[in-house]
Amino acid sequence: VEHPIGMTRILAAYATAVGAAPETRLLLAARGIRAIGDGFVSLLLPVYLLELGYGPFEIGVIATATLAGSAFLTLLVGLYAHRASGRSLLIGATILMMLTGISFATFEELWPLLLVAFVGTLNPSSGDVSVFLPLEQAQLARLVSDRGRTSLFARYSFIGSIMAAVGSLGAALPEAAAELSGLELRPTLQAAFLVYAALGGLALLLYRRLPQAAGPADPDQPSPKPLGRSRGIVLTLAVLFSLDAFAGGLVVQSLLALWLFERFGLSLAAAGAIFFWTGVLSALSYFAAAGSRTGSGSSTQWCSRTCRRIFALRSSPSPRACRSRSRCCSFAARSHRWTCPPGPRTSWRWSRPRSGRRPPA
Amino acid sequence: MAVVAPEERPAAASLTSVPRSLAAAASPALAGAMLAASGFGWPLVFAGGLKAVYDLLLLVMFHNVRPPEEAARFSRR
Repeated sequence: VEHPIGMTRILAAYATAVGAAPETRLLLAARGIRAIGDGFVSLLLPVYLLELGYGPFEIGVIATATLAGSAFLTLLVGLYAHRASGRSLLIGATILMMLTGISFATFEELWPLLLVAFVGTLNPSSGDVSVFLPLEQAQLARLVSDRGRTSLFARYSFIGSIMAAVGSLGAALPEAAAELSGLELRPTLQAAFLVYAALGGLALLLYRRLPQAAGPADPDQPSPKPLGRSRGIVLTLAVLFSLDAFAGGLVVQSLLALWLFERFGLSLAAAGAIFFWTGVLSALSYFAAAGSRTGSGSSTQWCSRTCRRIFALRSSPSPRACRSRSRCCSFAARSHRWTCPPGPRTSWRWSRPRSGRRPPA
Repeated sequence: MAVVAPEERPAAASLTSVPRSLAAAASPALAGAMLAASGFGWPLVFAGGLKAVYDLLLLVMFHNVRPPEEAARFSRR
C-alpha cells in the first residue's frame, strides 16, 4: 500500500510545483494516474486480443464498443449530471474502471469482452475519449477564471499526455515479466489488466478527497442555461470535432499498435517506446500552447512565431530560407494580421540578441 | 470552451463531445476491417487526409474568433 500512496504524493507534489489550487491539484493528479492506465492498456488491448486468438476486425469491433460505450456514458452524464455531485460521479466512474480491469482479466470469450468493453471505461485511445473528461473538465472550468483557463487546461492535457506516454512505456512490462518468470504471456497480460484496475483504485482515493458538496467556487459563474447566442458556433464546432474524431478513430492507439505489430512484427517494448516518444512530443505541444502568450487562440500563431525564430537565429540565411521565411510570414499575416508585422525588427524582437550577431535581413 | 458564454458552457460541452465521441466510436471497426483486408496502412492514409481537411476548415472558419481574455487584449491595440 505504501508504494502507491507515495506515488500519488509524488504526483500531487508535481502539481503543487506547477502551482495549482488544492482541488485542481487532486484533479490533475487523478488525471495523471488514469492516463498511465489508459496508455498502458491501449497497447496491451490488441496484444491481449491477438493472444486470445482474435483478428484485426474483432479488435476493431472491440475498440468501437469501448468508444461507443464511453460516448453513451458521456451522454448519460450530460443528461443527468446536474442531479448528482461531480464528486460522486467521478467516484462511480473509478469503480467502473476497477470492474472493467478485473473483468478483462477474467473473460476470454468475445461476447463478454464486447459487453465489458461497451459498459466499461477501457480506452483504446490513451485517454482522448472517456467519461472522466467532461466530469473533470466541468470541475476544472469552475475552479479558474477566464485568464487562467487556457493555461490550466493546457496543464491538464499536458499531464494526461505525458502520463499516457509513461503508461505506454510500461506496456513492455508484461512481456518482460513473462520472460523473466518463465510464465506464458497470457497470465501476465491478465495481471496487467488488474494493474489497470488498481490504478482506478488510486484515482478513487484521490477523488474521495474532493470536497463533499462543491459549491460554485466562482461566484460570478452564472447558472447553466440552454444554448442561446453561442448556438451557431457550438453547432459548427460539433460538426468539425466529429470529423476530426472520426479521423482520429481510424488511427486510435490500439489499432495503430496492432498495425505496427502485424506489419513490422514489433515487440511490445518497441511499440511502447514509439508511443512514449509520440506522447512526449504531443505533451510538449500542449506546453507550448500554454507558454504562448496569446493562449488558446491559435497554434498557427505559435507555428509562425517559431518559424520566424528559427529563421531569425540563422546568422546568414540562405536565399531559400529567406523565401520560405517570407512565405511563412505572409501566411501568418493573412490569417492573423497582428502576429506578423513584417520586417527585420519583428524577427529580431522574438530572438534574443547574442553578441556578434546581426539581425537577418 | 472559452469562446462560449459561461452560462452556456455545460450545454456546449455535451453538444460538442457527444457527436465527437460517437464519430470516434464508428471508425475503429472500419479501421480494423481495413487492416484485416490489407496489410497496407490504409487507415493512416484516410486519417491523415481527414485531419488535414479538419485543420483547414477550422482555420478558415475560426481565424477571427477570440476568447474573451484575448479579445480584450487585442482590442486595446
